[in-house]
Amino acid sequence: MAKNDLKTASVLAFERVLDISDAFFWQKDSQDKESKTSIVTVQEKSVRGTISNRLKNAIANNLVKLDPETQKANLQKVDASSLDESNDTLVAKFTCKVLPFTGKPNVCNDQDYQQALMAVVQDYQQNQGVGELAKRYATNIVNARWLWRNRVGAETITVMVSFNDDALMFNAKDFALNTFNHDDKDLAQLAKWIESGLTGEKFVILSVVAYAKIGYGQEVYPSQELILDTGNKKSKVLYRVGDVSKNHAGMHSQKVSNAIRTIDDWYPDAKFPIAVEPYGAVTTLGVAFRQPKQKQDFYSLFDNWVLKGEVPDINQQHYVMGVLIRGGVFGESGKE
Amino acid sequence: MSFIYSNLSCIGYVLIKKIKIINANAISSPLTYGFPAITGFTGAVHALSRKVSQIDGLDDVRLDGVLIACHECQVQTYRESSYKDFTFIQTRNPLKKDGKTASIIEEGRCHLTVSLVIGIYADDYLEDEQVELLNNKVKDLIQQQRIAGGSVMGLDKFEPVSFLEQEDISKFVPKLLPAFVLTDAHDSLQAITQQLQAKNPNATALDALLETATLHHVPNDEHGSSWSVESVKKGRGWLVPIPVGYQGISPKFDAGQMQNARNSEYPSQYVEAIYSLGKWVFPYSIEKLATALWYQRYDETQDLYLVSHKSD
Repeated sequence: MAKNDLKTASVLAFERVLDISDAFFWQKDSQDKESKTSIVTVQEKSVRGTISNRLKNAIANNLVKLDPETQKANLQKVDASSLDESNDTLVAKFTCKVLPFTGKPNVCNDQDYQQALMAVVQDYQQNQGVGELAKRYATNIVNARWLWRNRVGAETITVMVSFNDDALMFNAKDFALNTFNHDDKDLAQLAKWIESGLTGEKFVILSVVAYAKIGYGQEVYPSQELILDTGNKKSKVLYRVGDVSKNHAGMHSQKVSNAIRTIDDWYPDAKFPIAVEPYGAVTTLGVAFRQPKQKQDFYSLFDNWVLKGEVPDINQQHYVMGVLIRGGVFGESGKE
Repeated sequence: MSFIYSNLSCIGYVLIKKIKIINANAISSPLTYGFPAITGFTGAVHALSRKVSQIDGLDDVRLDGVLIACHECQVQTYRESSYKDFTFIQTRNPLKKDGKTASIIEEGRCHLTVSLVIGIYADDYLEDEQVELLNNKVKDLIQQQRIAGGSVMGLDKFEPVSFLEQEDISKFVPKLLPAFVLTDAHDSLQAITQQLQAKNPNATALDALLETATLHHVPNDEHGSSWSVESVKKGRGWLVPIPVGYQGISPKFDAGQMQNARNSEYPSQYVEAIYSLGKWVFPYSIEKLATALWYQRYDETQDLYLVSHKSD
């Protein structure tokens, strides 16, 4: 079949290659060497809030109406999570499995297309290798970006990564969040491990632990659950991992993996790295940085590369492969 | 014996102990939820078998049949208070290209820990080195694949994979503790159907299945001063409705003919789920462990794709 006749398969999906577990929250005391690690729990709080939302002009300008409005009790039931008063260190753990990245789709209903696709991936692996991607993933593990809000305000963060019998220690704050140019022996070692997992040379499962000193009794931030139709009993529900009766606080695997794949600083006018997403979407900012009209989004780059053989520049190649490693459903139903 | 490898004989079993799976599919069929469908496990074993058979030294080894022992299953649900309905906890999807929130595709997920006993088929008994190779490869391969849509995040720390010859299968029982094994409860379904037919001759197996999900509040005397709760499940163990396979509802299409099929290499057919009763049993209560393995079976004349226990 001639190359021009190729069409994107209508069913095309990739499994994620970096398989990341939920992060479990534990705690300990940095001042006491003997201190046992115990779990961080999620507790329910009932609070009396204040009225602080913007009020309608008619009410805000009328003192007679404003006073009773601001005096209304704003009762809320929320979940919260914090360290005990005797512990000052958050211990967060997760494991990261690195599967071989062959470019073979999980499902694909067009064999010709699959062959073209795999040829593209193999070509990338031979010419570029997965070293750059591995290094960036490694950086995001050691800089503790995956702690999200817990990283902010932490006095010190130590990250320990172990693989089989080897272990590496990092001071997370030595690694800045907006660059991937760190020159560090241990970081290079970690990147090697990830690379050997991606190429299928070894079976790699990394176990990652972060010790973040954030202060006695300080609040920590587990993931928030997305619940449809809760009624209005509780406005915030936090993630409890494992046995629900223990209320063990944790972070969703999706959230951790979003931080690990925050390696894309190749989008147009990049100021900081964003998570690898087909449209460069950043949920917290409500912005998609790779607009289809700039032809820098995943689908434009990917289709041109596989179907028309137009090879994008090296950085965009890394990006496209990053999306495939992230996984997802990329088929084209023909209705677009 | 296996329905797929009828020409090979079962020479032993492999136990994969305490597989931790996260975010597995908790919706087992259009009507049942809570634990992944059995086909999620038989499918995973079939995938494992394909990979094992490509390894040098294990070319003639096949895997089929799986016993599912569940240690722990946490369905990711939320319940506002007791007496309220459970709702599945959802995930937020990335934004769309215009920066707007993507719609939520509702799904049900669970985190679970299971042990699996899997049948090993070959022409001949395995050498010691082959057994060791098999154990090591199974240990790695099972962690590199999905089970019931979920990611495998780890195995038992000390003895993740062990092999026993066919006649020694009962030695796995202590290793399966504490867990419950999902077995088929066709007998109970038939007994309940007969019980219902005694009252109403038109009752069918479907009525029996619905009856297992029903609690009857019955007054103890004619004034209704005290009530008791009755269920046909009482005294029959831990019965659960489960899907046990698929019934074809269209002709079978040749490979590549059906539009938007997931795979164009194999024939495809539209199907719908078939239900039956399952029962969670403590391993010590199973007389012969080998009878609790689930096998895939295809009945071409009736277009049935079933999972069932071995008949012999």
